[in-house]
Amino acid sequence: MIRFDCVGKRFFSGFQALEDVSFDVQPGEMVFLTGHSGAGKSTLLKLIALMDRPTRGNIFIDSQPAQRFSKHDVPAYRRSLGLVFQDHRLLFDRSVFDNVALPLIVAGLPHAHIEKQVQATLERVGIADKTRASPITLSGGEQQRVGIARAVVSRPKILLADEPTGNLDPDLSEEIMQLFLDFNKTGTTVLVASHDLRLVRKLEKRVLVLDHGRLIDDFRPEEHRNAEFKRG
Amino acid sequence: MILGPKNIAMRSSNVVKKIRPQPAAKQKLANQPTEKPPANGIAAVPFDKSPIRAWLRSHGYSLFSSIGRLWRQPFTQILTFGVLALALALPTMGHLALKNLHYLSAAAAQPGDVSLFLRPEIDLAGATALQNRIQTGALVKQVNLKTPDEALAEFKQLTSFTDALNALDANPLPFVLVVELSRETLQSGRAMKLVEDLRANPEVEIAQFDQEWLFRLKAILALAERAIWVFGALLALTVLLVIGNTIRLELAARADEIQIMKLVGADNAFVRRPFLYSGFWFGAIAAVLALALVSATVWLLTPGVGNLARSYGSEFQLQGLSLLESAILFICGTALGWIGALIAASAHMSAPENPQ
Repeated sequence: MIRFDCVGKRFFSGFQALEDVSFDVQPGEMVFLTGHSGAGKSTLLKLIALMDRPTRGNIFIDSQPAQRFSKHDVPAYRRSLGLVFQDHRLLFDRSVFDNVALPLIVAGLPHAHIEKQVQATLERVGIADKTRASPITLSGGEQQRVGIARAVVSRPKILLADEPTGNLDPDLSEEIMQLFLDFNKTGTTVLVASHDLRLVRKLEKRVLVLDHGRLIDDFRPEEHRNAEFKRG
Repeated sequence: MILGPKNIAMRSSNVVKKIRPQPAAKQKLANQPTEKPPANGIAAVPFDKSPIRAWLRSHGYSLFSSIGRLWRQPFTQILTFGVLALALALPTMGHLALKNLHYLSAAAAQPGDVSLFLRPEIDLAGATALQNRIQTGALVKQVNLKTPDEALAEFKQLTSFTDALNALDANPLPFVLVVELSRETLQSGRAMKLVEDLRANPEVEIAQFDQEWLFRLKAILALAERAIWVFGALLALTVLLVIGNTIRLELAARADEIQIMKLVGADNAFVRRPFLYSGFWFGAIAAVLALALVSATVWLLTPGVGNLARSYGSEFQLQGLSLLESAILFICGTALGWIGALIAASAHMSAPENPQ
């Protein structure tokens, strides 16, 4: 689904955000991306979302080289992508409904479908009663649910989340993470960047660890358990 | 596929240690209930298969979202609308003034006569020959010959110089040819050329054309018309720049929204469209305001012009904008708005996408 091949990213300032990063994410996989702040988690997600281009190496989306994506391909690709941000990136001059409906409006769906799908998505993330509210009146956790609803409303193949629980307390964080696990169970490939190691460990999913732009570990709990079992 | 360089993994193994469960913690985690029953999936709604319908829908969305935005903040834009309406109204008024002057000058163009005073040495035979020669010209309606005797009699009748004229021993007046021009000749631009041709005849001493002032006026009007075009073009440019700048400010104010739109998969055309419609509305509303301004001006001036015309015994009435002219003003306004917005939006879109 997503493959990084010796990817490097150096900014104009000369800062090397990513260096020689290679990994492979299978369709339907759930992967956490962790590391200290500034390790390159956000940069890596931005490269997957084609918000930025790597300065070295290749990124393959569905075996297609991302560099070859034309001006027309990028919007189409992004419509198959759900993006969740730490700061939610909601439009505060519009209602919750309008925020969540945005990807569907962009896709040009008929109004009746949009209504149905937005309502179903809001129910699924647990804020069906806030449909007509303005995002500014919602709590941080609720705003993040709106952000997640917007990301998944068009049933994307890939869901990318950058520190989705960064501003939330531990209980809320766990609820939000549980949402991502649920979406993963319905077949969505999910990549979540988080520095909340306690939570990441508890969820027992594959973890990519970045350190100063380098991938220093790719931990798969199942393999680990199997290895322990054989040894034990 | 694991590709983490192991030597670095050693160095920063504290992060890794936190991720890799320690043997004590492992047992607890393994016993946790890991699988929850799958949440209710959202019924997948198929994306619209018809690109044309999707395109139309997105146009509808842009149309209404842009007018909604204008509607929500009408007073912040009032200055802009004022400038735009004036910029559209001024050349329109200039055009209207010219149109009325043209109309007036056409009404004033009576069948005009050219009086050709022949040289004193020309006799009746010479005068008749010239008369016949001019008569054959297509632009001329009729040529009358006035002998010196007829002219003298007329002169005596019209003036009180009878005694003085009687004192003369010979008639000092020359033969006169009165050339009556056809109305078509007068209305077309050929009259002045014809007068020049008549004047060039060797027999003619003086050629007098009583409507010469009218042709000067027409020449001035033609010049004024050209000036109005230049003036109008400059003001059209103003409209373009004002709308372009307004849209540019709007684009800058909504940069976050634009970025979010792009992140959820909107292409440039989709992002640009509401702004183009904004430009369209700016132009359309400004054109309607300009129409109102011009109509109000005409309405205010009509009684005064009517009174003045009547004092000259004329039935002249101030001409307002015709339906066609109003339509042209409206189309120009909206087109300028659209183009101004297109320039601003395209400049914004071609700037590199720079997400934070």
